[in-house]
Amino acid sequence: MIAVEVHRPQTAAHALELQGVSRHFGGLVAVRDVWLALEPGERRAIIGPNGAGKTTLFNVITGELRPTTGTIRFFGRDVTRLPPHHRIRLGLARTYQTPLIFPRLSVADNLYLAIRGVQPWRLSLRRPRAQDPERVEVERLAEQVGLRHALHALAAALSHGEQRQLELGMALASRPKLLLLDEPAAGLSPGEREQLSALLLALEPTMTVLLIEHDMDVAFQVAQRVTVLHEGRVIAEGTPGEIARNATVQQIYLGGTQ
Amino acid sequence: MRKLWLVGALVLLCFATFPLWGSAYFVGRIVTPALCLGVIALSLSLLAGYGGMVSLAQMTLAGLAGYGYGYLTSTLGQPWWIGVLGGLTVATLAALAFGLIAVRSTGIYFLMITVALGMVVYALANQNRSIFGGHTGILGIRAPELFGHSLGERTLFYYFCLTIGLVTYGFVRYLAGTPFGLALQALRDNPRRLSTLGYNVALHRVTAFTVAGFLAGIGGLLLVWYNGAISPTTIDLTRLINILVIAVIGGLAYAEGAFLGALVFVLVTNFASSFTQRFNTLIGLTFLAIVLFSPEGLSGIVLRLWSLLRRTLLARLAPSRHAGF
Repeated sequence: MIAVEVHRPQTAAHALELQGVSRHFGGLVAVRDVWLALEPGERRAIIGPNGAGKTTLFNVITGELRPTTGTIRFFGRDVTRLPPHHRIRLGLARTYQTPLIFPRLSVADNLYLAIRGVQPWRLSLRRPRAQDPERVEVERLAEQVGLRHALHALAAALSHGEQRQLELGMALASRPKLLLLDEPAAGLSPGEREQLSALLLALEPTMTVLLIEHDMDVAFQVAQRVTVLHEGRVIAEGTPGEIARNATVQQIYLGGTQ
Repeated sequence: MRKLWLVGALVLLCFATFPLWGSAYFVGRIVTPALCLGVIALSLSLLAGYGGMVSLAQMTLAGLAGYGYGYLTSTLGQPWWIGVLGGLTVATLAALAFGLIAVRSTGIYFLMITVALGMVVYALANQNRSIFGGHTGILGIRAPELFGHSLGERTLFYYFCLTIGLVTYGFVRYLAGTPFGLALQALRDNPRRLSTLGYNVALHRVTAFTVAGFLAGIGGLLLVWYNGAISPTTIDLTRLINILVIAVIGGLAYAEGAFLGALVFVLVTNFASSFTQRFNTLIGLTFLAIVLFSPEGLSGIVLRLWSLLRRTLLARLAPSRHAGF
């Protein structure tokens, strides 16, 4: 319960800093003493076999799960105890492994809600009008993620790939400072994967991106640095090249047991 | 779908001219109480259809508005407008309190907590004599008088209920397209996602519950003016469940369904009692049939019949290209 306050003013420079973060589920330790620091504008990939604790780590970063121990700093600010909606309003956004969208609302309304979520008066009783800046922004976002044609379709009617595009659009809608992407390429066709990489590479350079990815092509293309998670622990960190040559990583990925 | 407007206008015309051609019994004893119950059921449609929160406390909140009005006007002798303000305030504040207690749970647990809260108020009303009037309740409650006319006059009251019904219906429909309403529907589909878009889900649930409590309060005032009295029987378990039955029969997901369900409910309870003593069984069977065969309620059936009719008509009108028969 007692988090030790480490006084390091220069931490303000980090977009995201995890200090000794662990998460236990009963006897199971899903995330074990993770230290991680992202520079603003950095593109970082987290890789690791199934069950390595990658998604749990994301849930802890967004606040959907409380860490059992450790401190989470967002641009220097301790957010360890903030609920998810507060962290989102500070400039954090995420996507999920299986797209979490609002199936019974239109694509436009899904995007609109994502834009309003970080604005004041998000529960306004005034109906949006066509000339509202948010409505214009909805169209721009739809264009950006390639859903312009489906703006008025129900989200449930989209294909899996399109649902992923929609979710990415919803994550970008808040113009986040830190974007968390949980396996954005999963279930996409090779063509869609290329589009995704292009989209990710075209993001504003100031945006910090942390992505979980199984697809090494996407991960190594987009990320400058890679962190390897195994059994909840960080076992390696480095440039894509270094990670590809790392013996331990090869052992884990090529099916060796330690 | 555009033709549905025409249907809506026709239905509205029927209701607007109803006192001119309908019997006094139908105007006063069927459609008027159906409109009162419809407004209360509408508050449940808002909560359940949009927000995914099935509450059984809507009749309790309506009853509290009725008690508030009755206590202020009948017991304390205050003018009607104080009774109206007081009644609506009581219903809204009670809804806020209920909401704060209930919103952390969902689904069947939410339903059970709202039943429990409803039963607490029922027991309180039954036992407290100074305010609630105990088992007898509050008698001799009079509807407001405006410009020398009592709202209690049959035709005037009918039109008043119709107006309130239309206004509240319009409000709920309008709400669906606002950021508040959109977020409410999003919350129904995926509360976790809504919170990672920056929305405070618990706050939104409480707010929606409070707004629905205000609506239920409006319906409660209509009902207490219709009955002229209020007693614990008005808010007993059967009456609480009746509101859910009405909303489900009409179609939980449709604001129109609240009024359609209320009309069917009042018709069945009134006419079934003339040929059977088991009208509760009949209501129960109707409810079961709807849940089993059309989960979208009568509104769903009407919509399906409408599209069927349209297709048949279009097929008839379009020149047949098949020469087979």
